[in-house]
Amino acid sequence: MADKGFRAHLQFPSTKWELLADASVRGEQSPAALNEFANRYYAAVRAFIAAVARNPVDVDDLTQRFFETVVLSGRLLTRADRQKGSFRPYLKQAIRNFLIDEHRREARSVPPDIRPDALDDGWNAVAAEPTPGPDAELLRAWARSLVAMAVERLETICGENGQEQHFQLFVHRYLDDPDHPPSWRDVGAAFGLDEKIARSRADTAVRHFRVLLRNLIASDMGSEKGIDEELQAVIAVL
Amino acid sequence: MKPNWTNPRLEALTGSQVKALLLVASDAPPDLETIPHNELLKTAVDEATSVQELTRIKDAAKVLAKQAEDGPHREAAQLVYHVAVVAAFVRHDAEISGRPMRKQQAIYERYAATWAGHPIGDLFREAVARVAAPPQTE
Repeated sequence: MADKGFRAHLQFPSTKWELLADASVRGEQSPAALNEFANRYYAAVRAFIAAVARNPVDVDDLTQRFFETVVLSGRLLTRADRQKGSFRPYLKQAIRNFLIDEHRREARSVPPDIRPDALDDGWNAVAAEPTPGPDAELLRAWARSLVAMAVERLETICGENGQEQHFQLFVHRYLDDPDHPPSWRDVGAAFGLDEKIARSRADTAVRHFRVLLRNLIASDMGSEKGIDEELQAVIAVL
Repeated sequence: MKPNWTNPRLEALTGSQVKALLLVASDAPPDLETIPHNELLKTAVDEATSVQELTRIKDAAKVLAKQAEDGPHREAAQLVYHVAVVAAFVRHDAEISGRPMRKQQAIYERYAATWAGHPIGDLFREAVARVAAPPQTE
């Protein structure tokens, strides 16, 4: 494909659909795209499965199997309708379908004289209807993944620009004790800087971070519109 | 072999840290109700507040900033101080701070960005516009 080579030069694909396509295609781009896709969604998929599948013992195996049989196989992409917009509802439905398939598969493996309905929990092992619990769990885990990716990339960018201290100031102000953030005066004092310089340097890191995180969210939504609504929706469930 | 898809930094992030960083990335103005000294802020923003009252609020904010026990209270008091000063400047054409307004331009621009879409942001934006405007010649 003509645009495939172009996309390979990007740090990460511009939309989740391209990411998914790259993650599903065997080739040079695939491991990096798969890694990116897993970084974004593995924890979210696991959180959703943990909330939907009512047997916590199976959660890690099911998550692993979802990635192997649905993502790597390309099924997630081939059944996707890109016109339908946001990716997460589609992902959630794909997980539900996968869990129902898994449950049927397990049910078929029991002796024929035992009806699936007679199994422990029966069909109740999968909550088929959307409920606020799994949705919120997925949203929280997804946000956490994206924030972690943005922080990691921020550290890399600051390192490349010789701004390690900018990153450390950012961490001290926003991550060390977020429930009781230190004043800018205290942030500066910890690094032997005055308040204004500390704030100015941390603000540089903040600007990078905002771009990184907002880009990650926009690429998931396929649009730059509605990023703040998305942020507020996530903040509301934290 | 199972690939390792866990992220050590992800494991370490708490809900409070995620929330703090999402707020950093958000363009939405902060929630006034959760800010310390918000009653003073609301009074300072109120169009009906007189210059005398704004001066009193500014002086009170100065004391609150000195007495603040933590970062959020100190920064909230600083915000109250600056809102009182720009409200007097924008609404009453009065300079109630000894520090020249143009020297505060960078601070006002930052507050204008943080509070964009809120009356507090409007005040700072207007103050920046006036401070940046060339002096009128007779």
